[in-house]
Amino acid sequence: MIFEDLEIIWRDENAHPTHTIDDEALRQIVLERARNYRRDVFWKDAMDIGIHVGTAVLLVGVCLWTLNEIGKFTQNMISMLVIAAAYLFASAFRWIGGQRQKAREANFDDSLRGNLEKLVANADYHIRLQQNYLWWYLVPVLPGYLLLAASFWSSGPEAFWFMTISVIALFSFVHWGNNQIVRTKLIPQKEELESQLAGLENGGKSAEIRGSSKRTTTDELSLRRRCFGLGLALLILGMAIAFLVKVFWPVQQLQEPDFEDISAFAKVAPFSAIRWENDQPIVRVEDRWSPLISIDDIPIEEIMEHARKEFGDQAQMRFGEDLPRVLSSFGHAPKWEVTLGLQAEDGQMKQLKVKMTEANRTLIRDKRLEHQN
Amino acid sequence: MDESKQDAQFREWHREHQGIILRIARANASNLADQEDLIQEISLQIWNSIPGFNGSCRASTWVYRVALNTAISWGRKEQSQRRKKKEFANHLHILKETSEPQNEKLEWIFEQIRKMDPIDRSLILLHLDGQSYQEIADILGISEKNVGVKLSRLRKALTKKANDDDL
Repeated sequence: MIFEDLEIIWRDENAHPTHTIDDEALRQIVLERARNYRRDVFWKDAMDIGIHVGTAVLLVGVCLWTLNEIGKFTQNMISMLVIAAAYLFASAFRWIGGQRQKAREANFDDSLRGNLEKLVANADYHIRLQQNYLWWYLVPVLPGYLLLAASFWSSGPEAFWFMTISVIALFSFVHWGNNQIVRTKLIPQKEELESQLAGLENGGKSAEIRGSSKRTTTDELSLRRRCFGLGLALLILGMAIAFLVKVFWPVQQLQEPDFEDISAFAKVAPFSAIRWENDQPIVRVEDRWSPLISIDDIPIEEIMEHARKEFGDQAQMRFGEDLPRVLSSFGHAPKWEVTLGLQAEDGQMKQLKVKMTEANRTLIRDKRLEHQN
Repeated sequence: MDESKQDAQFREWHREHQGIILRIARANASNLADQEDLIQEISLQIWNSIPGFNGSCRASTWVYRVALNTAISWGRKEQSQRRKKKEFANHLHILKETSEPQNEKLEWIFEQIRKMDPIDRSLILLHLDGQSYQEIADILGISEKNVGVKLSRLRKALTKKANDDDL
């Protein structure tokens, strides 16, 4: 048999096909799939970009509404605005990148080779997008989330660290997942396309021709390692900045207080309960009731004398529930940890370093409200 | 382009070039369900490409380009993905059986073509369909010389295989 015999079989037998296409059924399916295709493209764009833009708009809206309600910026609002700005940046980056890629792909011709080159360029774009996800998405969004995590500091450093570590763990997981997609899916796809493209050439010229878009696996690994190393360094830096901002911010607030503005002070207390014997506070610390003699070496008598002048009948309530404000108005800005002078059972005074927590203050306030009711 | 013009063009191309689509589907998929899926995919891409057709080449060349490009992309999709899509598809049967008997020799040729890599598959299909070297070069985007070299190798290999199998 010679090749021409195969050509005859091909020509003759294909002239009498065993199947034909039902034109009308196919047309219906094509029309429906064309509509679905347009809808899918719309939703893909909406999912990629719209969700982030929508979330950013929502966050800005919530900030504006809150600002209108309370008339001042809070730390949470700043966190939300930072996150919103990062989302807008990421969406704009993605949209502009997508448009530029579409323009680049439009330059390829309609031949099979042009189509393969277009697919390689597309795969290359998605590889770069995923590999740089850390820079255009995670790093811009991270400060906002860390600031938000920092707002948990007032509930105790454990809550802050839990939130911070959770955010970083989540981001690291996303980064790792992206690298997995690049390594297991996108790079093999690109390599397969490049090998098909190579098949269009004689010999091994294809690698040279398409060399501009092809990197070696070693280069890719090294690039990923560099990205990850730098990313990790940035994460740690961001975490440190957020930590310092949160630790020093409230101290600054307490040192320069606006005494009329109650919300300027942290709602914390170093003891979990308080009762009074005249102007002598008896406080509950580490599950034990003790008379409180001093705070940070300032005698309670002095503090209460000042509180009486400043708050009148509300002095005892303010002492229990707004201690940072009371101490600040007295001229002493407390830290997150204060030294309590407590009278022991043997009459001696012992000093105890205690953290001021929101939970303590809530217990005191709840107890008072319960008593009032 | 309004949808009625697009529809008219689609019907005309489909009537004239249905054979191309059928052969490309059969050369890329062995079972009827996969062939139907690929025919739908090719037809959808042809529909989408109509507004971009500027008449700079023959309609048959355009249809070959779109169909071969689609077949390559279709072949790259994961089998599981195609199956999943099929399960959810509104499955009208678009392939109708004719009274023509199955030809074993033709099926043998299709089987050999399906075993080739996508580029060789496209080349041999175009060649068997009687396209000139110039047209093949144009559709694939390579030089005529390159087409000649590759086809010479493919022709030899296919003839040898036919003789080995006593076709």
